[in-house]
Amino acid sequence: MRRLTLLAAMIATGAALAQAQAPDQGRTGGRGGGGRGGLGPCLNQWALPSGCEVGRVDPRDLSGVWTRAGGGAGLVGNNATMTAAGQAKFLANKPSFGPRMVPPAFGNDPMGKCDPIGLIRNISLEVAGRSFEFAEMPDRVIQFFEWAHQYRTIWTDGRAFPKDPEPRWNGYSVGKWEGNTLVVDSMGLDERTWLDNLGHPHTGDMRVQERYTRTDRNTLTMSVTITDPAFYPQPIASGVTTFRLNPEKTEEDKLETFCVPSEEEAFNKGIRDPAAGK
Amino acid sequence: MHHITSLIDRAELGPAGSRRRFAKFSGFLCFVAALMLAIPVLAHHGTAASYDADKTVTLKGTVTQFVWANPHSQLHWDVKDADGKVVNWGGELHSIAQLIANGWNKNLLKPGDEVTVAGHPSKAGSPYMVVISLKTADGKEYYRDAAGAEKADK
Repeated sequence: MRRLTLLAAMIATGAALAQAQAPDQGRTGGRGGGGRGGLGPCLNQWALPSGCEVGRVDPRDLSGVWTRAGGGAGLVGNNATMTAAGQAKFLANKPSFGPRMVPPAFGNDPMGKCDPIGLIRNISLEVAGRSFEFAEMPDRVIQFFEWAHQYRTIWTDGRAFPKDPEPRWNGYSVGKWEGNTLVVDSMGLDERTWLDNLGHPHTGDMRVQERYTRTDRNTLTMSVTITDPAFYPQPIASGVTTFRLNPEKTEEDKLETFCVPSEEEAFNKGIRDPAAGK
Repeated sequence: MHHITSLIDRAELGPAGSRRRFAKFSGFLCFVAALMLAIPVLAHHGTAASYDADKTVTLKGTVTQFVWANPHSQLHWDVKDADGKVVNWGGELHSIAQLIANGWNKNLLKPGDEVTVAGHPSKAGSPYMVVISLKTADGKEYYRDAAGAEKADK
């Protein structure tokens, strides 16, 4: 009887350990879940339970808050070749960064009035120190941007782009997996936004492709191709931008940074304009 | 890091030549550190265009207004010069989330509080600055960027 009891205890203990450490095929949903990779409680836990190995992660789960860790904020760079039309629009834009910078009081960067900065500046996390969060759903991925507290939807249910859509600040996006890379295509982007803080313009016909790859538990890479032949004769291929998982912002809910137009207007009048002698 | 440690060891224990090399190397490190630490301030929207990063001024005065706002907060304070003339200065501050992350809070300042404020002055010569650091009457210091990335005494 004692042997049977001991054997039962060993089996129970072994089963418990196996449950704690083995892939959890059935669990779904939630940040701590993870239906696809079968890694159960080890997946995307900010404080990993014992038994979980750091680095074990479903590469197709991009969930989490990500902060830029490598690669520049601007995806276009300083040497983009532009068409005459692109160059004219570029010169009409008065940035407050880079070699053509003027004080914001004399510039026209949409950011200076809390206008939406658009998809490209959002995904590059141009505004220093900000983050974005990916939240995955069965038919879409939501990308929430800390700056200005906005989001975009990446549809992953196989739908096509809308025909002749109304332009939107963040456009229309569809995504699909190529291996472990999420490939996102976007169009329908409002031409009033800039591509970067240097003032690079774009047309409403611009197409954008983003490629996201989670290379390990804490690292996400992104490369972007911008195609807009009316302004840029050749597609613009960004370098690789690297993001790090940011558990602090996830756990402590620190993502609210609105750009409040009335408060920015007061700031412009109270500080920014007189500081520039305007 | 090994090289830095090695140089430090030699500076403490080695001959005068090593100390000189260490002094030069320390200066270089300080220069690099200063550049790196200045980035958070200058990288903000238009900051490098509006303010002179090569100059730092420190001004003691009395708070007239503290605006806690997004995406920029403001500080205004009266500064009395040697002749007794009062000039109201304005200081550019970060967003609420960034200030909170750096230890500030919305009740930190009220009109009448005595403060010592350091920052880079306006290029246009007007009485405005981008605030680097703030010292309150109780001696506590608060910084624009994390961990006092750019301190007033540099």
